[in-house]
Amino acid sequence: MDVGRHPRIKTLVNSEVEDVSGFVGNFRARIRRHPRYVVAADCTACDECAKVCPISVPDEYQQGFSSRKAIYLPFPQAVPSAYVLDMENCLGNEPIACGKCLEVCDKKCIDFDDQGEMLDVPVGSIVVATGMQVYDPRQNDEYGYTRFENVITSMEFERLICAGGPAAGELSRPTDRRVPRSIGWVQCVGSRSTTRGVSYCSNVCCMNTVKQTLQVYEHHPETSNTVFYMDIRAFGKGFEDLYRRSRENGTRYVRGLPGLVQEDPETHDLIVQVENTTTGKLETHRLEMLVLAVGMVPHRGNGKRTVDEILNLSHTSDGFVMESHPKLKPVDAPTRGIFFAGCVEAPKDVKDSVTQASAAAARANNLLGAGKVQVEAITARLDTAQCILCGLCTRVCPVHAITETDKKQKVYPSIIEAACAGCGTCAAECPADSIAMRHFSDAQILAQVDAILTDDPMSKVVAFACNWCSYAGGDNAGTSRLQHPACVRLIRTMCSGRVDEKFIWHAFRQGAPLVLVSGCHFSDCHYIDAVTWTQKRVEKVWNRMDKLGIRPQRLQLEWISAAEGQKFARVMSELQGLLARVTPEEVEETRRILEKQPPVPGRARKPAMAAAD
Amino acid sequence: MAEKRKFECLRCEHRFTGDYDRARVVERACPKCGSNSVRLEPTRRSTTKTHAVKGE
Repeated sequence: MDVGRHPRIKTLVNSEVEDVSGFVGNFRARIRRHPRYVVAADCTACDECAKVCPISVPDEYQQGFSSRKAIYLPFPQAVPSAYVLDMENCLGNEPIACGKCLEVCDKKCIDFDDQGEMLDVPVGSIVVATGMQVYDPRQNDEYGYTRFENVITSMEFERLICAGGPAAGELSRPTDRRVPRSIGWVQCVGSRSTTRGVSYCSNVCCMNTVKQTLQVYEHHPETSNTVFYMDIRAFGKGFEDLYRRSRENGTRYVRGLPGLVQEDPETHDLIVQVENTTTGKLETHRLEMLVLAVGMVPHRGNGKRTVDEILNLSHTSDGFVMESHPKLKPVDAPTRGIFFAGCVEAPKDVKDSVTQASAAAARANNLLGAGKVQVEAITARLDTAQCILCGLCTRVCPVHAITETDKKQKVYPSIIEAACAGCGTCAAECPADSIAMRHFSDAQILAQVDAILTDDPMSKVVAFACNWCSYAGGDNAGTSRLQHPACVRLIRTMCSGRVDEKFIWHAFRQGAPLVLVSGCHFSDCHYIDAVTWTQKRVEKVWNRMDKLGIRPQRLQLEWISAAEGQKFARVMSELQGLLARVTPEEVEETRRILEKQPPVPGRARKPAMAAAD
Repeated sequence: MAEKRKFECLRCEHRFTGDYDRARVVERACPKCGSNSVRLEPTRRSTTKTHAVKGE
């Protein structure tokens, strides 16, 4: 409500972001405002239009437990407090059809000709707060959701018991509209399952159930409550106290999830069979209502393009968007100027969502308040004199910091430095060596390779490790005092995507027996999808090695996260084993083969811009 | 569209069949040793050479 009244906040409801271009401080959002058919500024929410509307449809806000009209107020606290016309269900304003709302509206604020509009809004930063969706429990058919009317979800129960709900808080079960004398809750429906639903914990369901049992006790102390659970996660402030109160009030907690739910056809009571894993006995419970505590699943938007596509966001394996750094930048997207708030990032409760939203607002405010953006020191630069207009750099850039190329019109790409994240994937992929990096330059990296292999190369493994994960994984192994062989020499790059083919070939030319390319796991990549280009590139080098008669086993690839110190140590030990299998003759033969090849075998020779570094 | 292709682990030399989708790059790991040095076996083996390895 405060947001709606705030003089400096403009809310665009019933709208959808279709595209976002630009970069930090200079984003442009194309927003489609869908037609509302009611002039919100003039509407007084008098309800006269709804009174005469002949159409009734299920009310989505009340989870279908009550109906609304085709012209309606979405919910009592809606901002703005104005009606909206559901044109899909409206009969229209043709005189023969309907138009009754139009006749009774004193303010004449109903506009059937509203076409919506496209808005082009310049913004400095973006906060993504697209929320989540609830899991559809129909996949867990053993619970009988939609087969048995008295099996409902926790969201539906919330509406039933809410004072603003369809029954004004008078709890009743759907089949006979009377107060249920026994209610059961099934926890983790769709959560923490590797077979159906999602594998993660949805965070809020346990405490939501505890709250609902307390609400039932307050409304109807005579009703018996039973909760079927795997384990109760009451880890927040005051949560354990609520859980204790719930048990003290008589709620029975049964450790075990029901295997089967059946309905008594006469009474519509539910017969729940469950193995109580505390007692090791099979129990049968007769309940008048069963509530499924459904989990949260990521919400990707309702439009043609998902929010991931529009904002070029990466997501973790569980489907939620990935933050720039889980500890140091927990509300920042990998693309600068974009922040996250709420369940778009992970399942969380209201308190955590508000905390994160406050942090995101503060981060955005810091950025905008400064008035200028300090760009990364590590950025790419393009030499158009060497550019062959292939457009590959634009395609591989994970943060869309390189403008489009047009070969016919001879339009060269250009690098938006404010948007460049400095991963170096463009520099590694550029077939003409027309892109160089500021810091982690070709010359610097090649010099490190030379330095490693100057003395006793047969005992060394040249390893390229990304700054965020693999290199940090090495640190983790070190600080954990894990033993691993000393044969591996690490060369740090910001991203494994920076590892140019020519670095690998150069190492083999200089007599490296074994080369390792190591980066983040795909779901952890700090440059969205730059790591995928690493895999493609290494695959290409393997094939080329094979064709040249060099064993591909001498180029190893490994994804090691910052937390995987043990994996780092294990991989290093395995590499030592592989190293022992490479003979000096094999290395010499490789050098002889590569002498006849261009710097990057299979690629035509081009003057290297890196020489100027 | 995913198709079944043969993969080779360049760490433990284990060969296995897995899903491959040209349009989608996914993280690969050897089911035997867990290494990520998993190479898609070339379809035309005639283009590849055999390599002598120490101890063989």
